Amino acid sequence: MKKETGSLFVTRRRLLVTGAAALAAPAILPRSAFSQQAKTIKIGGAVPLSGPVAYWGHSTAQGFIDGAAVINEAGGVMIGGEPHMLEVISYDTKGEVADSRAATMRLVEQDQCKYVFSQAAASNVGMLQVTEPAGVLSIVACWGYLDLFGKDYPLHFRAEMSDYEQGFAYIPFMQEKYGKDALKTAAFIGPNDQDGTDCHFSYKRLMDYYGITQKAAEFYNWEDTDFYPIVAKTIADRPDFIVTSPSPPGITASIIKAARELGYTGPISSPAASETKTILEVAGEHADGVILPVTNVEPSTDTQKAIEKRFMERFGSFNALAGNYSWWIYSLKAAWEAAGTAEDTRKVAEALAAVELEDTYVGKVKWAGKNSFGVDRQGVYDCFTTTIDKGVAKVEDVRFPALPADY
Amino acid sequence: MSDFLQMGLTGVSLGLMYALIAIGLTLIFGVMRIIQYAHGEMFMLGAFVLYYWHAEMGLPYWAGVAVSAVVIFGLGAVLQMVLFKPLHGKNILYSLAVSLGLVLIISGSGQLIFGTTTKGIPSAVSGGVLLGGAYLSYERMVISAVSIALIVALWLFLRRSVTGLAIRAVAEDPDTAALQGIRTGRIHWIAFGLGSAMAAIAGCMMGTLLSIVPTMGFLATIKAFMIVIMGGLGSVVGALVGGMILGMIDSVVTTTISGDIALILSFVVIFLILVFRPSGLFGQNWD
Repeated sequence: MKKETGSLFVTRRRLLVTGAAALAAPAILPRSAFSQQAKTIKIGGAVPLSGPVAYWGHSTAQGFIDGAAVINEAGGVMIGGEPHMLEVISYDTKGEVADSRAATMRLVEQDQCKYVFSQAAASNVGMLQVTEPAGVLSIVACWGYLDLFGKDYPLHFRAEMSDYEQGFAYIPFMQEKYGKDALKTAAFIGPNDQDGTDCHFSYKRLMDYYGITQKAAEFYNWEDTDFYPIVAKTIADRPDFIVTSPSPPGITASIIKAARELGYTGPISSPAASETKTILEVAGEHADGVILPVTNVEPSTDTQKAIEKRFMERFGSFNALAGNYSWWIYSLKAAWEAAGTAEDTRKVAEALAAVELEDTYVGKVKWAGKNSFGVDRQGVYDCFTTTIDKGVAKVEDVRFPALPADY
Repeated sequence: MSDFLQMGLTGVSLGLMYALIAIGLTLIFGVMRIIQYAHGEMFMLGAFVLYYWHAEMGLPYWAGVAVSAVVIFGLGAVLQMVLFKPLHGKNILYSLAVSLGLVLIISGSGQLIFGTTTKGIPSAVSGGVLLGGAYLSYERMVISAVSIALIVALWLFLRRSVTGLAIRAVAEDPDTAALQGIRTGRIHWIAFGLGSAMAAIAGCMMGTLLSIVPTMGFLATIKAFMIVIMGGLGSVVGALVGGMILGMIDSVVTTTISGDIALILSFVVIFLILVFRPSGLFGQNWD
């Protein structure tokens, strides 16, 4: 079999390069970034760089490392007519709450970071215990723990669209693709933890909004090895389509494989599984009919191609997830420049909520959710939806989520 | 009716795979009296050997399974000779600490070497057949057949071959076995290698059916321990029966009630077995 060299593959080289780069970003940033003349804005990363969710952590850190290098090379962030260089410092949270708390303490107290990014629920929970009381602005990807996005955390921004926001793009797309009458009922399969519970809550709201009846909701244990039993139970209710949120790619692929083998032919949408290579490898011929929102497998604009090229040169590989996270730092840059300060994080937070970017890897970006969260703190952007047909993954739809008026 | 048949078929195939993982662990304990926590890591490494052989290099699947078994047999034998042999006869906590260290080293190194993304091994067969309304994929049939064949082969090996009889003799009474001229040191590394190779083959089978990541070993170890405790430490038959019980609980209870209840029930069954048979269903008293 020919070795696939697709953009979604995490190589040993990539992992080592990203890890080393994340831990020693100063070494790869331009010398000017640390010169005596320019002021420096330190951005801290409390991200999983090892452990089961390290892939997400590396993808997030890469966006900041690359963005900081690009911004520094272009002269830095201009605040009050004065250039400020960016320095990215990342510590490994191992995907654990306690390690994330310790990493964030180090970033805030030792490194004096006023801006911290994080990734995934456990790291996010640990980070917030430190950042919010310290007046540090945080920017994260985390779908569960919905209470963390309430009014108690005014400096907390969720840059990644959760399955809820994605739904306002991919459900209309699916209704157009298959017809509304073909999608009257749905079933949910997710993990039996806080993320799964919260994603099920979001999914239910989404289905209610579109008038789709929920047929089944099944929760698996992370210890489960075979998904035949849970899938058999789910499809016994004959849902028109299945949502596997927020299951990671490997589990999603196993669910898809089991569903197809057991005779289920309906669409399966997977808002969290943005690795087509894994799905194709694991599910093989059974992967047809899979819908993957926010997964851009075909970078096509000049900006997308440039980001892919830079990532390949800097890290040795590129994946769609890293592309999705690459705009966060540019949003912060716009906020610093609009607020005229990097010291006053509350001013920056106000400015950040109003930032809109037109041309990023994920297309148009803005912050929304004021009615839901008290602040426009939820990143919303063009949703690139990839589908798999006859073993080939391709982008079939791009649209900005049509969020409800009261969102 | 077809629903119950489906549950039964799924439970049997799952149970056979579980048994395959657990048998290697029980063999190692039976012969050496050590708790090999890194057994799941052998399972993981076995799957990755096949992944690179078959999915990356495009070489034949079944040859890859054999290569994986041989490579992990060798690794297991080396680990026994280098790390566990010096601890022989000492408190079990020493070997426990070493094997826990191995878990961290192997899974951590695995993430650096293999990457953190989930991977899949293309199956050697595709398609399936409807049996009384229940679907059974050829892949699961092959995996079940391989599991049965290996378990039977091991059983015959332990009862009919000279080396197998020596392994049983060492497991039964190492001092007396040594007095009979059996080189117990040699038997130890053979048993450790054999147990590791069984784990590797199980990793190949389950890796093909599901997916593989460098952290997959931990769950395999947990399942293996549950089965071995249920069936009895050191018992091959116990591992088979324990695997089948766990497989059926996972299939039937998850399908009819929920995965949470299946997990709880699995442990309730283990507790009940330990209450009435403290050494497990087929275990000896190792005190």
